[in-house]
Amino acid sequence: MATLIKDVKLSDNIVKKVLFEKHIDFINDYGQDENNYEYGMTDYLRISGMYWALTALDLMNSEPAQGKDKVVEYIKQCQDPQSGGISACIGHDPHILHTLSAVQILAMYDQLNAIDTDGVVRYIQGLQQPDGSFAGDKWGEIDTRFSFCAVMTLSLLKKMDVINVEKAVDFVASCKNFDGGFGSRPLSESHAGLIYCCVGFLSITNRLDIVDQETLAWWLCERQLPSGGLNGRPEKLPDVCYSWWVLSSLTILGRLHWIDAEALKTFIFACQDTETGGFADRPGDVADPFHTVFGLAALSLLGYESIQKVNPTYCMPQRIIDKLELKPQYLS
Amino acid sequence: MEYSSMSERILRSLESIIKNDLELEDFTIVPTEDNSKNKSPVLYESHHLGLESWCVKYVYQYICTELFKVRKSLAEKKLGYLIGENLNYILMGGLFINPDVNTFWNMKRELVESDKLGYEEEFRFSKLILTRKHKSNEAFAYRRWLLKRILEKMSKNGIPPSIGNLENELAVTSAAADGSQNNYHAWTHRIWCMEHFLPYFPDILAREMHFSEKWINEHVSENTGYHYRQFLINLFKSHRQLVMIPRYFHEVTKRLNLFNDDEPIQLLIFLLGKPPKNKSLEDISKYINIMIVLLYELLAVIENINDMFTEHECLWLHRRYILYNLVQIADEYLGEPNNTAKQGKNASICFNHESQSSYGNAVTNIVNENCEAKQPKIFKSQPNKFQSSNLYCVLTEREKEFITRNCAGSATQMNLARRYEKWLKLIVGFDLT
Repeated sequence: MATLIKDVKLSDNIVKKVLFEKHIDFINDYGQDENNYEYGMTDYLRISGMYWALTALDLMNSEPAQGKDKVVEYIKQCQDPQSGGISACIGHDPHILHTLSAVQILAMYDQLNAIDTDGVVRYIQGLQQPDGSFAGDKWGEIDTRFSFCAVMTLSLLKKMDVINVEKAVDFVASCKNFDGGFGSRPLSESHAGLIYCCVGFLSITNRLDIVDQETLAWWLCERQLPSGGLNGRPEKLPDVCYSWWVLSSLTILGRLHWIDAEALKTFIFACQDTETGGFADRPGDVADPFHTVFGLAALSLLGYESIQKVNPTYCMPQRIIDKLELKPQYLS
Repeated sequence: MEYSSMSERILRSLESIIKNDLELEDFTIVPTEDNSKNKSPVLYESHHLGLESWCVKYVYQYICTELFKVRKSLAEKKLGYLIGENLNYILMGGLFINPDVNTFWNMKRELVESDKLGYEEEFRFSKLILTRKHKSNEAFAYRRWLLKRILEKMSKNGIPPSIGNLENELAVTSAAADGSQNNYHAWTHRIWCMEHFLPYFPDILAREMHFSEKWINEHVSENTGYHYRQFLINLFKSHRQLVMIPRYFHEVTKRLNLFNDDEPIQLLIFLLGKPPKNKSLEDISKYINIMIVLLYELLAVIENINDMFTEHECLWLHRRYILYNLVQIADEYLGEPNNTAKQGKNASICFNHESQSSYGNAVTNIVNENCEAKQPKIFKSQPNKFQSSNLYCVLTEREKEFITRNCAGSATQMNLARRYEKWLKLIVGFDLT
C-alpha cells in the first residue's frame, strides 16, 4: 500500500559536505543590485535579511565583501530618533523584529555604540503590555515572537531590568499547549518556530522550569520524517529552517541525542544548491540567505567541523555570547 | 518619472473599480510577458479584478516614491488635507502588489485614525488582499486592529457589537483556510475573533462545533483544523451552563450501549461516580458538558474519520488531546492530584540507544521498546479512584481495541498506532500493556 507520509525523497548522489566557497559567494552576491525590482520588493525585511546573511558568513569564518563599516552605517540610518526603534529599511516604520536583528548584527561586530542603545531600550520597554506580552510595534499586534525579540535585545544590551520579567514569563507560560508546545498567542496551535521563540525566551529569562521537558522534546522529535528532515507541524513537508528551530529547542532542552543526527545531516546537505551555492528549504528548490543561515546553524549544533560554534538560544556565534558573558539556561 | 502618468492611470482605474463594485470577489496579478497588446493592464470581468504583471515593476516604483515622500509628514499629522484624502488609492495599489509591507498598512491605520477611511471599506479591502495572499498576517492583524477599535467604541457606549462583524470574520477566515492548507494565521485569527465575540453570542459555539466537525472531515491531514476544534472543546471546560449538544449525548450513549432516555447526569455518575459534595450545580454542568463532548469526539468523530482515512498523524495527535483531557478532567472531578500535567517535570525518560534501528529517532522508532520512564507509573503503582471508575474501564478497553485494530493496517498506520501507545504510556502514564 502506498504511503501517504508527506515527505521528500532524497537522491542517491548527495554531496556529503558543506560547499563553503559556493555559499560565501552566494551570500556576497545576493541582492547586490540596488536598482533591481526584486531588491525593492524585499525592502520590508532588509535588516533581518542582513542578519541572516552576515551570521551565515560569520559561521563560515568569513566577512562581508562590502565591509563591516558599510553595514553599520546602514543600520544607523534605520534607527528612528523619536521612538528609538529600528526599521527594516531607511524610511520604513520601526519594528521589534528588525530592532533585534540590528542589535544582533552590531553585537556581532562589537559596534553597539554606533546606535542610540538607550533609545532601543526605551522602545522595547514601551512595547510591553499590562499582561506581560509584547507588541511588535506601536500598533499593538501581539505575538510570542515579540516576547523573544524583547528579552533577546535587552539581554544583549544588559538591560533586562527595565521590563517586568515575571509578567513577561507569565504570558509565555499561558501560550503552552497540552502537547508541551507553544503557539503565537494563548490558545494558538503549537508550531516549531514559535516553540523555539518561547523556549529561547525561557532560556534567557532562566525559567525553563515552565517547560514540560519530556512532553515537548517528544513532540519535537516527532517532527523528524523518514527523509531525515524536520517539519514544523504535523503532516507538513520538511524544511531546512525547522532543522534549526527544532534542533535548537532540543539542545536547550538537553534532548539533542533523541534525534537521528546522521539522517538530518544528510537531509541538510541535500538542500545545498551545488551550482549557485546557498541552501533551499528542500532539495531542488531555490536557495536563499534565510535557509542558508539556518542550515549552517543546524549543522553547527550537530557538530560539523569548520563551522563556527553557534549558540542555540541567540542563533549567534558562541564566541560573541561568551564575550558578552551571557549565560542562557539549558536543561540537562 | 517616465512611467508616472501610466502608473497614475492604472492606480486610479483600480480605485474606481474597488469603489464602485461592492461585490468584487477577488484580486490577482496575472502573469504576462510584456505589454504586447498596448492596452490597459487592469483586467476586470464579472466581479473579478486582475492586474497584468508586466506593469507591476513600474507601478510599484512609482508607488514607493510617492508614499515615502509623504511618510513622515503623515505620521506627524502635518500632511495637507487634500494630500491625505488622496493617498488611499496609492496605498491600495502598493498593498495589492506587496501586501507584506507593514509600513503601508500603518499608513492606512493613520488614515483611519483621522477618519479619512471608514471601517466598511477597509474590511472589504483587506478581504480582497486575502483573496490573493491567503496567509497575509499583516492583513489579518489589520482586521484585528479595526475590530479592536470597534469593540472598544461599543463597550465605551455600552452597546454590544454586531454579530455581522463576527460572521464576516468567520467567512473571511474560512475562505483563507480553504485557499491555503494549514493556514496558521487564518485559524489564529478565527480563534481571536471567537474569544472576543463569544461572550456576546454564546450560541455561536454550537454552530462552530458543527462547522469544525465538517471541516476536519473534509481536511483530515490539516493539524490547524484539529487545533481549532480543540480550542472549541476547551471552551466547554469553562462553560457553567448546560450547553452540551443533545445529538452528542445520544451518540455517546448509543456507542456505549447505554439507555439514552436517561438524564445526562446519569451518564456522568455511571462513568465517574456520584459528584463530590463540594461541587456546585454549575460545576456539575461543566463536567457533563466537557465529558460528553470529549467522548463524542473519541467514540464518534475520530472513529468515523479513521474508518475512511488512515495514516494521518494529525488524527492520532487529536486522539492524544482527547485522552489527555479525559484523564485530566476525571482526576479533577475525583479530586485526584493532577497527574498528567505534572508528569513531564517529574519523570525522566531514558531511551536505550543501542537498539536504535535504521529507521527513526528515539521517539519515532517503534522497534525500540526498551525505553524506561524513571518515575511515576501512576496507574500501575497503586489503584486510584480513576482506576476504579467505569470511565477507566471504557477507555482501557477502547484504546486497546483501537490500537490492535489499527496495527493490522499498513506499516505506516501501525507505526502511528504504536507511537500513540508509547506516548500514552510514557507521557500520560496510561499503560495498556
